[in-house]
Amino acid sequence: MLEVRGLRAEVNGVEILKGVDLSVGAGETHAIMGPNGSGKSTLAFALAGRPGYEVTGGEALFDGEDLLALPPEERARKGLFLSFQHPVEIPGVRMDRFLRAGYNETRKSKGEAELDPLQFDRLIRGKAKSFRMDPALIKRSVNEGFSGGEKKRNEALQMAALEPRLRILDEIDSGLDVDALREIAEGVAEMSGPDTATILVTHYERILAYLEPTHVHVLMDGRVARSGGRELAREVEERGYDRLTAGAGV
Amino acid sequence: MSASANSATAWAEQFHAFERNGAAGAPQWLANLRRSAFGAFERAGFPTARRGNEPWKYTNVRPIAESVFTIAEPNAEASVDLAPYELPCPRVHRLTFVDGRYAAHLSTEPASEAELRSGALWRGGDGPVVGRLADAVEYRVPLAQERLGSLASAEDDAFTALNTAFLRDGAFVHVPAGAVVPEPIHLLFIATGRSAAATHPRALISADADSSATVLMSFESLDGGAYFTNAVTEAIVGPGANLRLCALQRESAGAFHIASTRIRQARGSRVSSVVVDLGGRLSRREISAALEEPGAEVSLCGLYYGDGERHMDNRAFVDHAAPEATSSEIYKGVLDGASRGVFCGGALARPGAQKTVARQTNKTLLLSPGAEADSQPKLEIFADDVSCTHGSAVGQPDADALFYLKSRGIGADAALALLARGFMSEVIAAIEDGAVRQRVEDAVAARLGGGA
Amino acid sequence: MTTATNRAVRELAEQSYQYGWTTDVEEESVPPGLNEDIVRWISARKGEPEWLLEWRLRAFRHFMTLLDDARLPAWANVSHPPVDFQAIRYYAAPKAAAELSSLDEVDSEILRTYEKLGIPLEEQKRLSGVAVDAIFDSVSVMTTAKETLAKYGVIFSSVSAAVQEHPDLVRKYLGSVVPYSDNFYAALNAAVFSDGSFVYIPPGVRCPLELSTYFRINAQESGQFERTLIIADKGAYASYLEGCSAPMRDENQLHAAVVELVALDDAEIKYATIQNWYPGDENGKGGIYNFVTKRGKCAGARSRISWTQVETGSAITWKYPSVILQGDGSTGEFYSVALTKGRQQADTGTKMTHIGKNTSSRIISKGISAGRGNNTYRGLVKVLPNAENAVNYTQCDSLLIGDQCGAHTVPYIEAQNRSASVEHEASTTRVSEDQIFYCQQRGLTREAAQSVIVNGFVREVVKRLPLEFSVEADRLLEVNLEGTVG
Repeated sequence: MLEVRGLRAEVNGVEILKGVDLSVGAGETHAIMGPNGSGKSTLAFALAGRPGYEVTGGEALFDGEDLLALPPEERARKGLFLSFQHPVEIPGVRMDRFLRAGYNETRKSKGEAELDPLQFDRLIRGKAKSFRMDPALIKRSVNEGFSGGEKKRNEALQMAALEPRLRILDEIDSGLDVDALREIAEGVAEMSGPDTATILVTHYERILAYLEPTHVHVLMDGRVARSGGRELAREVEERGYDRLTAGAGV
Repeated sequence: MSASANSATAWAEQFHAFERNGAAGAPQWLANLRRSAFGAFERAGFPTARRGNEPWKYTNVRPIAESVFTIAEPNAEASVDLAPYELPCPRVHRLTFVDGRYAAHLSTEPASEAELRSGALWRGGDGPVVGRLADAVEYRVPLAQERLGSLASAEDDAFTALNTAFLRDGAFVHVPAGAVVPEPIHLLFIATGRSAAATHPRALISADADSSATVLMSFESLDGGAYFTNAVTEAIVGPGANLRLCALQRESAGAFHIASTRIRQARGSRVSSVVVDLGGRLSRREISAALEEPGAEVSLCGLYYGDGERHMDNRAFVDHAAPEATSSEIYKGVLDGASRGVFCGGALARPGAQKTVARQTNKTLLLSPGAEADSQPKLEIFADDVSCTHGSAVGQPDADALFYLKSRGIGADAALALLARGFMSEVIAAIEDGAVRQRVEDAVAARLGGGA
Repeated sequence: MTTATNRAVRELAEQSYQYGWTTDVEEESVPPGLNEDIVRWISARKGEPEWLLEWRLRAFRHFMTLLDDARLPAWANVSHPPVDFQAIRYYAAPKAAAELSSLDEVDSEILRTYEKLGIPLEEQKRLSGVAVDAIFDSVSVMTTAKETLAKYGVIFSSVSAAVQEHPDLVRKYLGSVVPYSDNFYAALNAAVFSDGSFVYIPPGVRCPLELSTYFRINAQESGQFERTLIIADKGAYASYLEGCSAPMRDENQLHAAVVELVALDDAEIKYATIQNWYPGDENGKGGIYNFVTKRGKCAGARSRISWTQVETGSAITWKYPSVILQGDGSTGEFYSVALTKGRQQADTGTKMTHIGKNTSSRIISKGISAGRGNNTYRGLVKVLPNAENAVNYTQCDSLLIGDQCGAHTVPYIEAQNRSASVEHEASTTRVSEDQIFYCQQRGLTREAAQSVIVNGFVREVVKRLPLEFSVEADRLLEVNLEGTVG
């Protein structure tokens, strides 16, 4: 589904990604781990097309198509969803209207009929329930005044509504207590299937208990230092990043 | 003939007398500067609070315009005890002026001719040049000629014009490049308080690249006449320099105090100014900073306390002429009796001044039914990538807090004073130099009561 | 700035005006110029009583004194060439424009005009819960739903008709809130006002319909000087809406209206404006000078007056809908959206004067500057010495789109009572790249993202409008701002 080869990216003229290779197939869950500053979030942003994250080399193909040539909204409409570590507040813009606009744009791009406000309202209420999200939140301004946990639930809710195929979850576990984390992770797991893929960007191993990864990658200094299976994550947890890579001779 | 016409004639007579006597022997450039300034004053006259004259909307200077003031003569009988004004620190550079005249016995040794002429010659290798403006003029110090009047233009303002026309002495402070001055520089202006006396103190401060210094200007009085202080300060701040300014105004209850401070800042420089208005019958204090190069940072803070019929007008203006500069203005007023406190803040982000950050806050506590607060926090923005905010609040002391204090046995007046001082503490805390901060804290405590 | 933003900004700045056509209708008008004869002619044309003519003449003389002394308002942050008051036509009206009661009598061209503007003059639209007074150039051409309103004792007519039918009410209140001597343009208006709406709601009546006036300038060289007077008697309630548009013309046209509101004890008036006068072209040629004085007096205890405005049109807007809070416990509100693009200039805000005890006021102002537009909020909150426990909250936010525009805030706070609580907050920002990217990540284009964010920025104000108008306001902002996603 996603082929990343030799991806290099700069932020403010500083090279952060120094040649990342990553291959994600349908039905897979990849955990990207790494210490602070290793480039995890930069990878997520570069794939989603955030301005200021300048790709200087390499390529990223999504279903064989050049992802990097597309504006961010086209990437989103093709099914790439980024769950933000720090969801952005947009004062005065109601959550449901905001999401309906994105939802209908996506449907339109697929040649599907748009939903009217009532239909969409039913859809979103259903999804909110399954994430145990206070339905009052979807009538409030996007992320404005939301607690950390509410913001994360809101990201998951949006993901559920937009039904993306490739989900990039950037530090979805930060700022969440254990129960909330479990609920959200279970929700994400429920939305997973043979046609979807997930990239989990995370600092800690604990979320992997809920979202069993098929692949684990350790990102160090802008490159994938090691790749492996579930056991690699445990190794990270036990030995820490420094010794892990030292042991690997990198 | 009207009172103000009387006064205008008196100013003109005085100016011509001053040109013949006190100002005689001045270099040509200074004579020209004075003469053109007086011309500007005569053309403009004192500002009036007429409709449409925005800067003077809330402050009526007719009592000044209609009085006849004469240049203060040195009061030979005045004996001055320095102790109450001294800063609580072992080392200080101090210049003292009594009724506008330099008082050698109350000052630390001023800079010599050689030091004035060459900023590179520091006393003991680490000192700034703290000298008399009159000396700098007499010794033909190039910096004096180059910079005097470069920021404070007589054309801008009648009071600045008057100060420039009668410019005679004051402080010349030059902190050479790279010099870090740990001890405060104290410019002490003492009025003996004789009625109808006018002084026009002037300070020229140059903080060259990467230098650092603290300058306290304090205005004190020995007696309570209706005298007139008209001060002008210019501060030129070089790249990377860090200048901390503080003005402590404790004029007598009958005095008129007008002060104007103009600051120009180069790349990456930092200026922190704290003004404290505790005295005077009418005070008006204007401070403006031009951030002319990227990365400049300025903080303009002030507090004012009024009781009786005092009128205080504080104005702070920041001109963001370059991108990536930061400014903040925090002014707090406590108004008791029938006093009136005015604040006018302003921030201008010129076209191209992207990444400007400008914050303004004005808060006023009204302690009595007769007090009045006027607040005008303005923004003028011509660049889109900016973050500018301003806020203003007027209200009474928090009733719950007041009750809490009283429930602990504190009397009503003391409780109010405590709350007022707590309210002001944010501004006092902005004074970085410990000795200056202590001096201001003591002055505020003495004025408001509520215990030290 | 990215090219996409550049493009969005350019499109925004160049959005063309959609109401710029003219109506071909036979007009009766006076020659351009201002003199006592014109004032007398207007008054005679309307068959006015002597006292009103006298009042006009006093206003005229006052105006001429101001004009001779060149005492034009100079404090606003706007610039324009001097207005030639002798080049303006002070009266223009469609021929045979006696007030009509049936649509059949209205010139079909005029009806078509309002249809095109989407104003419900037709019979079936009366069911939509709106009564409309349609003002075409200088006169009212049609007031709908009069019979329904009459059942409740509500008077809704043109001012001209009210002068004839309810002279006592008009005489009592005309000029009681905005005297002719109030300011330069108020004096001009008092001298030459030609028509406007008049509303009187009797004690205890909640007006069952939204009252609405639609102003249309059509004739060339003409100015529009309407005068609106609304009185809500004790315990009465009225919601009033006005909309404005004008054809595209190369010359600047002057609109100098006066609106007076009076709310007696426990009365409430909500006044909403959607102002979309022709703004001039992208180079600043042509457009309406919108110099308007609007003021309400909360004369009675516990009365409420609320102004809501969405200002998207006019070359220059100069208006400060204000409230005099005289009655104890009265409330004044001002909600404003002002959008300037192209070369538009707006200097707008409010004055809240707290006089009575326990009065409160609330000001929410949202300024949007794009293109080379300049937007100024100017507001005064004044608490007089006897206004115990006055409360004010002011929030004024500016949004800048592009780097050629300006946003300014000039608030004045004057508190003369220690029990006052006056709070003012303001911020200036632009649409952030983070917000745009977040929207894009959810499938919106940059342009749509911008439109969504701007709509969010103004939501707090637009939601105050009655439903019909909030839809209109959204549409207008959308037309003015590229993108159709709401």
